[in-house]
Amino acid sequence: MTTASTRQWPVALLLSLTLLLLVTLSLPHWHGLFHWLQPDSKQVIYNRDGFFTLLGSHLLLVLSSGLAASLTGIGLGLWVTRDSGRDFLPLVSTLASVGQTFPPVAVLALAVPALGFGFKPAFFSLLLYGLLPVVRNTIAGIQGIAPAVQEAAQAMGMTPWQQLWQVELPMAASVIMAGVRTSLIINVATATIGSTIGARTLGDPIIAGLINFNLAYVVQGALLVGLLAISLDSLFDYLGRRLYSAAEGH
Amino acid sequence: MIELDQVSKHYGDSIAVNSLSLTIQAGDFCVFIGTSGCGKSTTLRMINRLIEPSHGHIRIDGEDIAGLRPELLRRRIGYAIQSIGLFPHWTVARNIAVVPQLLGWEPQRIRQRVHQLLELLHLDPAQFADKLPAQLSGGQAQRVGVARALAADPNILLMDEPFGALDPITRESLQAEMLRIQAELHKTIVFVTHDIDEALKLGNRIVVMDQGRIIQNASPQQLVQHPANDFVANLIGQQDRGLKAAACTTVAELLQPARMPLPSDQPRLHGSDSLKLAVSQMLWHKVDCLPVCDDSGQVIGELSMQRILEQQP
Repeated sequence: MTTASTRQWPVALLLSLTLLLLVTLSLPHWHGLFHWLQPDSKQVIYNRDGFFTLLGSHLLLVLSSGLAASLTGIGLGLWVTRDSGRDFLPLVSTLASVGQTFPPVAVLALAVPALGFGFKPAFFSLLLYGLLPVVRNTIAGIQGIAPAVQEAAQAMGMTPWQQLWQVELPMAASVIMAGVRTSLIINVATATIGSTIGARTLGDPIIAGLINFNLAYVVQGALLVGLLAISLDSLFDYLGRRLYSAAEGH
Repeated sequence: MIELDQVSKHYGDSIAVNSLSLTIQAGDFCVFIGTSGCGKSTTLRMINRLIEPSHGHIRIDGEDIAGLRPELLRRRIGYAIQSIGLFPHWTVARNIAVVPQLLGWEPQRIRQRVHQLLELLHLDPAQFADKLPAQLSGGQAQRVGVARALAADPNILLMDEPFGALDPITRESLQAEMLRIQAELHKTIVFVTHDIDEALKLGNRIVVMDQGRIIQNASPQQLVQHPANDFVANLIGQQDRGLKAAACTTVAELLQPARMPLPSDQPRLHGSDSLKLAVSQMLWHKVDCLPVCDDSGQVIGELSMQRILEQQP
């Protein structure tokens, strides 16, 4: 059954990607719809930047901060589950849980005085915010491995590195990937707020729309952010299933 | 040969193993027995350095293991535990191959070895090699665990209550496998259990431990017949020690030449059966003498209740 489902086309992924591309390309031509939404406004299509440019820079911000957050988060999670970092496990584990309750706007607001306006503070706050689910899931993934398996790996004569690469990471991979997925999806949405501190994202039309009472702009930004989030989520769903079946040894 | 020389292990103020000295000869099947917390598992795990002793030295074939890299030491020592600890993301074959792979064997040699081990443990290679641990029963999984421990043909095998979690029938069949494998391979086996029957059945040397010390180190027969103190006597059980003693002697040791042709419909004993089984058979069939045959079914002698009674001290 597993083999059959992995050989299938990733329908959801292809569909959401196609839809995202089509909407991004065709959005400037949907005058009719947006005039109906916002009849009192002459300008109904956001035109300060192309939607493709906005999508690109939004994606760049999310992916670069996501990559940095994943690498740092996995590294941190692995470190506190080694002998050398185990003393910090309770601290990091608590921070990762408590940090999640911090509103993203507050993180952004705090980053501005330190890093100024634009890409940098947005990147930094997304990194911090995206770190938490990755750290939490890495710790959970490693701790979820049965102690007997860890003991066997050690007793068979694996070095600590071999235990990590051959046993711990493959066994924790799906849980860690779920953390990366959550982190990225949250940050796709959070990145829109980056527009308030001058990062160019799909939040631009939303913020502009809110300021000018232009519902059409808001809908355009929100539509693309939503489609992007669905596409990324389907991508991870697909990768996760590939990973799962690889871990099963097929 | 494994030598433990004044080995101690402290955890803070509590003493798990207290200045323990012991020599385990090559080819011995040495069973550590005692109540939980007596230090038997700790002692076992110090031999492959999963636990480092606080004091004392452990030597394998004269070499102090403190001077070896733990990983290299462990690849030379087989290890099987009650909770088995198979790697759930690997197939049975890959699980068994783990130590040979760490040692860098050729793929062809590993494949042959895995095949050979599956057959040794009575698991059909065609059926089991590609299964995942989750698809195995408890008994099958422990067979794989034992195969994994034997994979790189180590001289020493450490086993920590390997059959403790299995049902009685599966446990008996795996105990029989261990005796057969040991007769074939002559490993030095250190085996931890809290089950006295298992200890008497498997070991040719039994080390009774309590509170981190050795109470008695003896052969099964000596242990049953001359328990060192009340603790050991209680461990063996006062009431049925006659049967325990009978379980330590084989029929072959008391074999007599057949005096007269015995009726062919009678049950037969094997040379490798224990006296306990022989007595049980006699009681059940209400006879005082049974024929003994070899593996091919040929009668090689007989055993009478009289003879058993004469031999028991």
